[in-house]
Amino acid sequence: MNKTTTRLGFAGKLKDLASLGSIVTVSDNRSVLIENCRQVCEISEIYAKVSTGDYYVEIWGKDLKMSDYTQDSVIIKGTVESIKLISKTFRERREKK
Amino acid sequence: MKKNRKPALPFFRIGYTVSGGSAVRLYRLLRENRVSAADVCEKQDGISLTVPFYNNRSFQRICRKNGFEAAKTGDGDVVRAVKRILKRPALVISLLIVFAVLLYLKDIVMRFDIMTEDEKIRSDIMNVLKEEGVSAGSYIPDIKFVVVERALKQRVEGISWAGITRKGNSLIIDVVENIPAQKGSFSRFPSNLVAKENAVIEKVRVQDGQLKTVVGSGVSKGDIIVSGIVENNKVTWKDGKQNVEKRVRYTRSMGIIEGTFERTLVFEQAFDDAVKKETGNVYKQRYLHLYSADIPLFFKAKTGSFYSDDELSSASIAGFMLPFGIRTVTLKEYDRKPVHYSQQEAIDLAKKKCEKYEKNFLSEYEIKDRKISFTADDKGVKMQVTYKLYGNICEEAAFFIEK
Repeated sequence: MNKTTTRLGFAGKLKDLASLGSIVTVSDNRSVLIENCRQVCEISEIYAKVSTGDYYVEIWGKDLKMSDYTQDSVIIKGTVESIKLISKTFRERREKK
Repeated sequence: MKKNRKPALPFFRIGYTVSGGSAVRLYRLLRENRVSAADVCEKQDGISLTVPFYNNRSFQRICRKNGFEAAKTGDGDVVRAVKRILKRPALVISLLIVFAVLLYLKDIVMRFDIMTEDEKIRSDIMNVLKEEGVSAGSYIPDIKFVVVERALKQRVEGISWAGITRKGNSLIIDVVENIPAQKGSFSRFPSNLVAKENAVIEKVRVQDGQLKTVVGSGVSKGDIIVSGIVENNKVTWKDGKQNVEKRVRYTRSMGIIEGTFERTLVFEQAFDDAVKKETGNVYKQRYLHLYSADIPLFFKAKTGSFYSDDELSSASIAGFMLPFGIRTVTLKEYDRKPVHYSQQEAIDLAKKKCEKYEKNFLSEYEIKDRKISFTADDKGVKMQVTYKLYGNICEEAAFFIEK
């Protein structure tokens, strides 16, 4: 039986303790709140891409709009159809492939 | 035909379409400058977004400095409404007046709630309040409640305590009424009938009591005519001896004693007098009538002596008068002007005074005769009238029984 576990290194544990990890909150299919985000890369009516610490958050949907981007958080509103997390590290991307 | 309307923007926001630069850079700049952009969406003609009106200047500055071109697409509902209203100064002024009036009315006495059911106390309280300058339309912060409460306690009969509370623009006046003392009834006291004039008795009708005089005799003012002390002597004979037993009964004297008497009066009229005469100046003062309150619609009340006449005009619906309207008080100014009368005019005026006296004070008597004489000096005319009157000459006077 294959067992997949998330292993956190020292840096990961430290990031967790300092609350530096990003939090993604989805409310139905109406809005997505991304906290601790670094940058909004793109936002169009069907697609939004937000950069967080270790991941890019990709959101697909309809009538997407961004609001409340003054703090370290952003809210994407609209009809959300899918959310995808893309790791920024090369190793993880290669492992996935 | 249906109009294709643009969706309304949120209340206090202004819509822009930004072009001419990297979107990512714009987002970063907005975040760094704490511009709360919303509804951000990249479209073919640029980035569409809205900014709150308080961030509008910073947003325009960011765009100007960093080479973005920001084209305004619309205003929020409130911003648009404010801009539209600002183009109409009359509307703005009226709104300001309405606000000022509301602020003023907030502190104006509109009604009084007096916590008593006694109409006399209620009217006394209202009179004292008026004397103290507190009436509907008074400015509440100027009212010294402690002083008014003290005045109420001192001057209103029948209360032992008064307190004033403000509730909005009504004044609630709480009172503690005096506990009425047991009233003594004087109807069971013995009484005499006493002469109130120097008269000659002509007719006697005694229902109770002992008559002390006879018809045709003269009495002086204060004489007891019918006594409440009825004395009887019971005479008995025992062993050839006469025994007189004195019995006393106390009663309330009742009856009508009619007689003739004289009364002399002097009516004077000076040649030089002062009379009220209208100056011809007529002023109108209007009040906004709301329930029981009259709010003055003028800044300065007229001073002087006036005859007043007020008229309330309020609309009615199906015969039901609405509790608000305009009260118009018409003030006709008068002042006292010196007048000089001739001797005949003075005599006529003295006669009028005499007629008024007879009408007011001698209506209960029959005037059998009147002797009139006039005397005049340099100041005026004196009219001396000696009346011969017929009527009831007695009044009841209660007395206590000595133990």
